[in-house]
Amino acid sequence: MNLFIEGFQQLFQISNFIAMNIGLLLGMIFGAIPGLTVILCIVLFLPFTYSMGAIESFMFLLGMYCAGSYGGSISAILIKTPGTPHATATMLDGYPLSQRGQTHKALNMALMASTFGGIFSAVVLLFLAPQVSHFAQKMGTPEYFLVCAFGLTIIAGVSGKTLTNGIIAGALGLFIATIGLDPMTSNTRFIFNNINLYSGFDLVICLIGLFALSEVLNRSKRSEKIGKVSLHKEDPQANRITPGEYRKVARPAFISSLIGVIIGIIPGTGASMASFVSYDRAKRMSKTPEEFGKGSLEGIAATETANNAVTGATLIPLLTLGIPGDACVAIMLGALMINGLTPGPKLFVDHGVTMYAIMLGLIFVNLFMLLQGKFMTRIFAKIIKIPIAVLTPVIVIFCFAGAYSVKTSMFDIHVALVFAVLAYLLNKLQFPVIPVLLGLVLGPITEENFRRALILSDGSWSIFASSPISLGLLAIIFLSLFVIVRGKIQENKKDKQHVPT
Amino acid sequence: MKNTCEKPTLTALSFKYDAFIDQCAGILENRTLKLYPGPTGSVLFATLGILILVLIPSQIKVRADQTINARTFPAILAWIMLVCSAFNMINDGIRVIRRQKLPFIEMNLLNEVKAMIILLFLVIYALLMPLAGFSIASVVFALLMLLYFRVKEWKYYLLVTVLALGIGFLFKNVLNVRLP
Repeated sequence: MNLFIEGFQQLFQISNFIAMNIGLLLGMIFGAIPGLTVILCIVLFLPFTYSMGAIESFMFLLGMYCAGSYGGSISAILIKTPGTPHATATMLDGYPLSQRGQTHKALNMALMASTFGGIFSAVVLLFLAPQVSHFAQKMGTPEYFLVCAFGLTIIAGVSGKTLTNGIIAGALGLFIATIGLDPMTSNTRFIFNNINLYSGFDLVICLIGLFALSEVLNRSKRSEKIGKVSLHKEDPQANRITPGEYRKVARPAFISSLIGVIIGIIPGTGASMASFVSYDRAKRMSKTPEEFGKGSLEGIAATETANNAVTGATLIPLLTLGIPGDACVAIMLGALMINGLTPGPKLFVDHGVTMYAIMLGLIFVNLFMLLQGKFMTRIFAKIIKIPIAVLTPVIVIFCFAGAYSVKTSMFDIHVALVFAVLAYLLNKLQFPVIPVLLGLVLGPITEENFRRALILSDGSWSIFASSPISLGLLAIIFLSLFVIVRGKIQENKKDKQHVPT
Repeated sequence: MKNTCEKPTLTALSFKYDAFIDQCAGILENRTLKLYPGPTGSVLFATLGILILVLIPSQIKVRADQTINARTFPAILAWIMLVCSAFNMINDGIRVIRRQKLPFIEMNLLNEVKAMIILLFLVIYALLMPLAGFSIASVVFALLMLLYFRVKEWKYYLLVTVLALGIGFLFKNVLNVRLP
């Protein structure tokens, strides 16, 4: 209870709320503009967190993460182009409703549902994370290595076209993380007598290359045409959500929140899956399933609650075990590490107050998202009309300035360019980039725990199956692998059936 | 009078530029390159795995009495890459023996050239930055990109110039970063 109160006190500082609101604004803009992503937003503004404290920087990033999740629905409803992949499900009903002259109603429902889903998951995080953390504290180095291996395996499995490609990409990320000084013995590794490589590759530089500059290279081949935005000349009375409509959407919203939380806790699943599963569930449970796809408020509520319910849930494995649930959260893990907070089971013991402040902050992030969404949607509707060709050079300038600011070195800009080319090539060769990111983030702790465990056992690998928790984790890893491999085989069979002979 | 003379010249230049770009694009548009991502990726990562194993003795110095040392983890990663690449190669080999088609992608040459041009712009920007300074290099790069994307409206040129200078100001004065 003390931690709770102290967390509250730490959170209630004006700088935290300013950072939170700037993050929300940026997240909504990036989420709303098709072609810009939430990851890109977080990567671009990550260098700004260097001068912030832990809570302030996390509020800034959480603002982007949550608002980006809602922002995708703005363009999905207005111009039938989802700003984020998970807003595709929102588009199914949001756009038809907008076409019927009820754009405000669709946008309001998306906002309300997003806020409800976000707050629901924040409350679950607040009560569940300390319990999971309590259990996680029983883990030693072998168990913690297995947790890292589990995170990497599942992300590698679900990200790539094949499991082996995902594993190779993960191994590549882990390998890149080994470059520089070995944290345990201070031996240099793969530095080729280059002084710039002594401290290895900075995570932010890698992220700028892998996710921001590579996106600019990929953008050269796309031509995104923005449709006509229709937000005005609507009857305000006809656009109010009635109490009856709120009652109608309450049940699917609650169930979708639960679905979002459950899916969010599992690493590698993500908001898109939560959106579509919830949409399907809401349609099956609805008394008016025929309205789905034609502008159903239940459809909008289900998808938006689910994708925002994921946001808090992905933080549960992150804050308790150090395992990020998706790419955005993996980058936030980097922000934690920058502030000297080592992710893992001891995070709640060593930085309990900060953790509670972050978890409580998530509730306020969602409340401010509601306020910003309510009053600024008209502005966002104008922003989405800015051509992507105009935004591209601005993104690059941000990337270069951000990369340079890390160590005020031109070498880092060159490294970012190399990583951009690497991501471009990986994309061409159908290797997923997300496991590379996870390898980079989890690399140091994975290696440290792996080596410590082997040193403890004098090199015997049996240490990884020596305790009930280890055995349980091994069982989960093998079960996940089995499910992934079975899924891939079924996918391949389906593909073969669809190939015309 | 001066304006009326300039306008047609600028428009004519713009038309000529557009026509030149369209002509170049027309030549490349229908040309494709076949890429077999499976075998190519396997060969690349198998090579990387071997390279890591070859480089480890020279790049990581360790004490002889340590069995678990700084080499252990990178070596395991290299073996993982090798084993997975070998697995992929065997799979592709089986497909070839069974006379099944290997999956391939057709890369549009125009798209690839476009990506290369953007990369060239990025390299020019990176090289120009220490020479001309962050602000000038950023403005040049931003204008170059708008020209490349064939943006016609002058207000966007003004917008990116202001934004480029604004970003420089933000990093220099708010974040106290000493930009080149």
